[in-house]
Amino acid sequence: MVTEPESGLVFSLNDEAFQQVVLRELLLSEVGNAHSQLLLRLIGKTIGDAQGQAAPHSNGTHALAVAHTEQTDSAALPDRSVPVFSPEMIELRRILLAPEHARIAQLEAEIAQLQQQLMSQDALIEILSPVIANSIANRVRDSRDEMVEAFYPIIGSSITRAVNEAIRNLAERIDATVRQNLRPQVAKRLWLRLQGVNPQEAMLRDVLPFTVQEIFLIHRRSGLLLHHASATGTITDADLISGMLTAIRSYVRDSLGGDEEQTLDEINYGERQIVIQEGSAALLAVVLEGIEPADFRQRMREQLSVIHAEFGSQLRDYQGDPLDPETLHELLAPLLATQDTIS
Amino acid sequence: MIQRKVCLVGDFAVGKTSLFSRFIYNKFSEDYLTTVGVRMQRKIVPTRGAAAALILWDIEGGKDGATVRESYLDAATGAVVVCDLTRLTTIMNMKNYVELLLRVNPAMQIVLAGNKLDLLPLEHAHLILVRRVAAQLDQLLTLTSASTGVGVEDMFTTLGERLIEQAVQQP
Ligand SMILES: Nc1nc2c(ncn2[C@@H]2O[C@H](COP(=O)(O)OP(=O)(O)OP(=O)(O)O)[C@@H](O)[C@H]2O)c(=O)[nH]1
Ligand SMILES: [Mg+2]
Repeated sequence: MVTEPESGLVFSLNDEAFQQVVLRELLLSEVGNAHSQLLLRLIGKTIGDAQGQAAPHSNGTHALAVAHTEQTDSAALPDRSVPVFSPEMIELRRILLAPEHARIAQLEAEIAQLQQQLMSQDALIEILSPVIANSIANRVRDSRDEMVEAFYPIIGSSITRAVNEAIRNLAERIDATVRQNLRPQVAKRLWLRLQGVNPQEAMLRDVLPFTVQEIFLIHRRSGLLLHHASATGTITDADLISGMLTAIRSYVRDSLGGDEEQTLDEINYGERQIVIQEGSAALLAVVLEGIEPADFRQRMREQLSVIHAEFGSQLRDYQGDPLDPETLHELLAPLLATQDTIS
Repeated sequence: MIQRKVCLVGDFAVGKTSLFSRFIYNKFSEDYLTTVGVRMQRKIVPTRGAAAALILWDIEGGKDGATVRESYLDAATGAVVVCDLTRLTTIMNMKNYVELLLRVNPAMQIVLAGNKLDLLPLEHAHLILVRRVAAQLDQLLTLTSASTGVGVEDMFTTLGERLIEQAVQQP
């Protein structure tokens, strides 16, 4: 029993007017004005409804309504259910849960964004690459030796090749400069210096390592091997190599176009190089390692013309009968012996 | 040692590579791996006078009427023109190859090979036809099977002997 002090009236707990008063007080204090207006309308309606018929029970909304009444005297209030989907109720929920709704909406947006990032490869890469880059950087720092071991076979040879190429370019540049002028040592150095080639570079050019490994003298049209001289002695099927070299040259010329003179005259593989010089009936293919001396190709051509002069008619109608091997050996041996020889 | 360049020509899939492999490695495979460009091997054949090294060029077969890359034939002294006895067009096409070879080298030593003999009954009409074609072209015909090996060794040895004889005749 509660006594209303001013009026002196006594209300029963079941009294509708009493309930309304309590709720009004409660709501006005707890929720802002706008909210409570609505709440009041709602409660008024609820109570009115409940008097007529028993509304279906719903836990969620019931709890919401009760939450505000508990502090007074929950036991004192009748257990009455609130209809779930009345427009007022929906509006109420909207108002009360507005901050949560906003939060949920925000979270949903964030999840959607994350999902999208996971689905799209580009976006994923964007996210992951800094992480992966960092972890690789750490891994490399922590196990440098292992890394070197793992990478060397892959990049080692390309580095060697790149260095080789750079040196070859340097050599060619210097050679081109020299070619424009005089031979004698002193004059050459002076000339190079005047041309802006520094003396260290010029000296480097003179000591670049170079070896001739194989020499093939090949009948140009048939691809048959005329003579083979070797510094290594490791090649057993020289006649097939000479055939294949010829076939590759025909293939390149036929398929890439170009006339008789335009065809492969150089093949690079690894650190080695096949240099080919062509005469009218025979061609000379030399396998070499390192950087060839400036005048090497010139010397190849000279030897070729000597051979043509010596064997001219035999070469023209060559069908595969052996040529005098001693003479050929004499003519080709000087090329094979070429080692680090520039003057 | 005397060496001679010998080319194997003919339409695609007639069995050039198979004859080559049978002769050099004594092997045969049912699988068809078309040749791209050219394959080369050397085989020494004993002949009556001296031994000769045949440098065999197994050339990719002509397809769709196209024949051979002529530069591959350059300065060859011997050739085997192969047909597939089960395919009529390959028999008829031998004429084109023979003409081409003789244009490249009028003294070319040619042997015709009617291959895949194992796939035909002995009285098959194609066998009569291929003999007629050979007679018309005035070239030596051998019937071969890369699969069973029949005729293969003989064909190459015959060609080797002819090449050496030719060498003796015109030193
Ligand atoms: N039964 C049988 N099959 C053969 C014979 N010779 C070749 N073949 C088969 O025929 C197919 C073609 O043989 P290849 O030797 O590759 O033919 P090719 O003439 O070299 O063909 P290309 O290189 O494309 O010009 C393969 O499947 C061989 O197994 C033979 O004598 N008998
Ligand atoms: Mg083939």
